[in-house]
Amino acid sequence: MGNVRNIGTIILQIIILSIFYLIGTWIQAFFNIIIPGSIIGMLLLFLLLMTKKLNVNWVSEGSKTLIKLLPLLFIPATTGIINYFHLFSGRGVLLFPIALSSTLMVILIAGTVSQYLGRKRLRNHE
Amino acid sequence: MITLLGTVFFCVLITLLSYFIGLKLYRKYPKDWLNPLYTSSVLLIILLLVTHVNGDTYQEGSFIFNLLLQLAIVSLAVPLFKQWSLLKKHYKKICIGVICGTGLGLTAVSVMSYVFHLNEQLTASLIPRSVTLPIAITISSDLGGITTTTVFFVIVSALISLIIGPKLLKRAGIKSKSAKGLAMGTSAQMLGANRSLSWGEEEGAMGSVAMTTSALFLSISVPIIATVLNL
Repeated sequence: MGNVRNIGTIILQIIILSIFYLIGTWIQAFFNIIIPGSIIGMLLLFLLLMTKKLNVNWVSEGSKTLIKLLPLLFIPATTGIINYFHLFSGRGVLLFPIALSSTLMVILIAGTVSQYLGRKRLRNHE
Repeated sequence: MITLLGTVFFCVLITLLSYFIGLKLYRKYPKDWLNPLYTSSVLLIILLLVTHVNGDTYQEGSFIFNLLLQLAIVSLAVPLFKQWSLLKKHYKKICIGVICGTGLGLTAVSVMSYVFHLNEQLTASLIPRSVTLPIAITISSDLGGITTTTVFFVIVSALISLIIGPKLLKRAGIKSKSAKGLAMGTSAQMLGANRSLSWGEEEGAMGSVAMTTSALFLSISVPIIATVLNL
C-alpha cells in the first residue's frame, strides 16, 4: 500500500514540475528568447523555492526520480544517429577527433582551474 | 490510432528493455566504458536494425522520453536549492572554472574547424556541443547548423567525458570534490551532473550548477561571437 502511495506522490509531483515547464515555454514563446522553456521553468521553480513560496517537499520526490532516470531519457536522442551515418564519411570523420580533444580540454581546464582556486582559498584562510 | 498506440508501446518497450540490460551489465561490471547510456543505445540501434523499424518512426514513438527529459531539466532546481549555501560559498570558483572550461572548448572547436576547413554548417553544428541539449539545439539552429548533428555531438561529447573523464581527473591529480563535479558538469552537462552525483552530494550539486552556468554563459556569448566573426 505504501508503495502505491509513493508512486502516486511521484506522479503528482511530476505534474507540478510539468506546470513549471509549460509556464517556461509560454514565457519563451511570448518574449521570443533564446533560453529554452525548460531552463526558464527551472529558474522559476528555483526562485519559488528560494523565496519559500513553495515547499521543497512538494517536488523533491518527483525530481529525485527524474534525475535518477536521466540516462534512460537520453537513449532515444542518441539513437537518432541512425539517420545520420552518412555525415561521418569523408571530411566528417574529422568531427570525432575534434569532439574528443576539445572535450578533454574542457574537463582538464575546468577541473584544474577550480581546484587551484579552491586551494588558494584554503591557504588564505590559514 | 491503433497503429500509433502500438508504435508508442513498442518503442517504449524496446527502450526500457535495452536500458535494463545496459544497467544490469553496468551493475555487474562497473567500468566507466560500460556506461549504461552507451551500451543501451548500441543495443537499441541493433534492435531497431534487426526489427526493421524506421529511425523516424522510432523517434515519433519515443516522444514521451523527450518530454520527461525537459521535466528533468526543470527538476534540477531542487538539488540547486538544497546545496545553495555550499554554492554561495564557492561562487567565484564556479564562475571562473566554468567560464575558462567552456570558453576554451568554444575556442578549440572554432580553431580546429578552421584548420581542417570544415564547412560552415558543420562548424555551426559543433560549436554549441558542450551545452545542455535543449539549449544546444536552439543555438545551433540560430547559427545555421544541422540540429540533429548537434544532438549527436552533445551526446558524443558527454559520453567521451563520462568514459574518459573520471580517469583523466585522477591522472591529472584533481581530487577536490567540487572541482571534480564542476569539471564533469561543464563537459557532460546533465549526464556529468548525474555521474558526479554518484561520487557524492557535493560533487553532484557542483555538477548541476556547472551545467546551468555553462548553459547560461554559452547562450549569451555564442550569438555575440557569431556576430563578431561575421564582421
